Amino acid sequence: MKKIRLIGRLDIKGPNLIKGIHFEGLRIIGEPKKYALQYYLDGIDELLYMDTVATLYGRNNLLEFVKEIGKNIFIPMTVGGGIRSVDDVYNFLSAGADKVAVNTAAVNKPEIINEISKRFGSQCLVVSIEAKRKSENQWEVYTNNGREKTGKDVESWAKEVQQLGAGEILLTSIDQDGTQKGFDLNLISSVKKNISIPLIVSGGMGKEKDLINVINDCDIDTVALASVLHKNKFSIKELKKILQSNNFYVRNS
Amino acid sequence: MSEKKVTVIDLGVGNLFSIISALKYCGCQVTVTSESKVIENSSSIILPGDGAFNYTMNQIKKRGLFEILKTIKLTEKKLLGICIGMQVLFDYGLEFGKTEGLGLIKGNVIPIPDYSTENKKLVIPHMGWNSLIFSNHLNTWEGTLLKNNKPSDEVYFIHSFMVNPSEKKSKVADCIYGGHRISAVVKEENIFGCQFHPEKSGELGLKILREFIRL
Repeated sequence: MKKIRLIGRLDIKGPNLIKGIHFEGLRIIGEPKKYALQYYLDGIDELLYMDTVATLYGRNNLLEFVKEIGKNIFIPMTVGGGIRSVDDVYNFLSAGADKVAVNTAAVNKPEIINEISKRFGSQCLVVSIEAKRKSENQWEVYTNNGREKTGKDVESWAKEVQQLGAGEILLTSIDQDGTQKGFDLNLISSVKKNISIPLIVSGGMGKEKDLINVINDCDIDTVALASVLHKNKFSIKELKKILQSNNFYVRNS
Repeated sequence: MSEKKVTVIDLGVGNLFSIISALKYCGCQVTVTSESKVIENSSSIILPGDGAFNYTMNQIKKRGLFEILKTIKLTEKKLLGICIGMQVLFDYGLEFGKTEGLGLIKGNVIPIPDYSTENKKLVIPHMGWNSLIFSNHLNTWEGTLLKNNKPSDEVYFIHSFMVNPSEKKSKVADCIYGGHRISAVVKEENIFGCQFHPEKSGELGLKILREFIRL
């Protein structure tokens, strides 16, 4: 039976949990700590914290947040946003994070993928890819939380980061992000077919069917959820029940 | 009741933050040390670990902790090794050449097989949530670290090597990866080991830490 991993994604700006649509029109949802703790207690498998303005301001502000939250949350945590060096990674791993997610720095300096995975092991490196549709079957890589285009093709970039030593890929569809209109199945399939490392998909979950479709149609087993959880459209327990009733295996906590 | 005291050995590698946080959350008074004198005065000791077998052993020796850990069975102290901290409890490891371990539990440390029992290429490291099952000769976890857990409880693993205990009495729990049985919890008198990270395994992992503290 296929096992499904659910990740709670918290996009954070300053002291606030936020959520936009297509990465824009960011709205304040509330205090990130409160939401993270709730998801942990409800049985989420992992948590992902993204500092959405880190690259813009040149630094990730989540170090203290991770230390604080790590006093009460005892599952794997990934931190992303503005991570630019091996030292940055070291600081987050020492603060209780298990993995880091890197996007902008990896695009600007792909060797960093290799440096990080050599030093700490590929299992703690997630390369985050923000994808925006260009044409029917082509997507472009964006950086800086959807602010800058790179000219890179998503499919070939995914292959490249795997080659360089990424442990996992987090693929976010800018077009679907925050819309709750379903995942970009073509995008996800095109990436999935080209890599063998774990793929986390993000952006677009709204209905029960969206979740089941992406799992079945794109051969996916790991889904990052934001809006649907923040807005309490589904609780994690409900999602796990839905998955079980579709004959998927989920972790009992 | 006074707070239980636990000593966490600091080998200068890896992340101690999570294990310290988890122990504090369980109500312990935590001492972090790399000095043998402090360990001598501790009754409850945790050896966490990250990194390679030979590197970890070198760090133990460099800090002058080899003797005190190797002879720990002669004392009343209890010791819990986590991840690589469990692997170095065994006689020797084969990561980057053969390296002598602490020899507290009989057996060695070998790579996880590259292929599943169905001959499919396995993803290494074995990483993620996986279920605990009884080791072959057991049908209860009564009297073990897993006393408050039940088979199929999931815990969080990250490792590329696995222990290979030579005596079945050392085995408490296993997990299955790629069809292979992998030792997940081991025990030898007052020495315990978890291949997974109880400090990253949610409430079910904390139960294991609480039981170690209580023992």
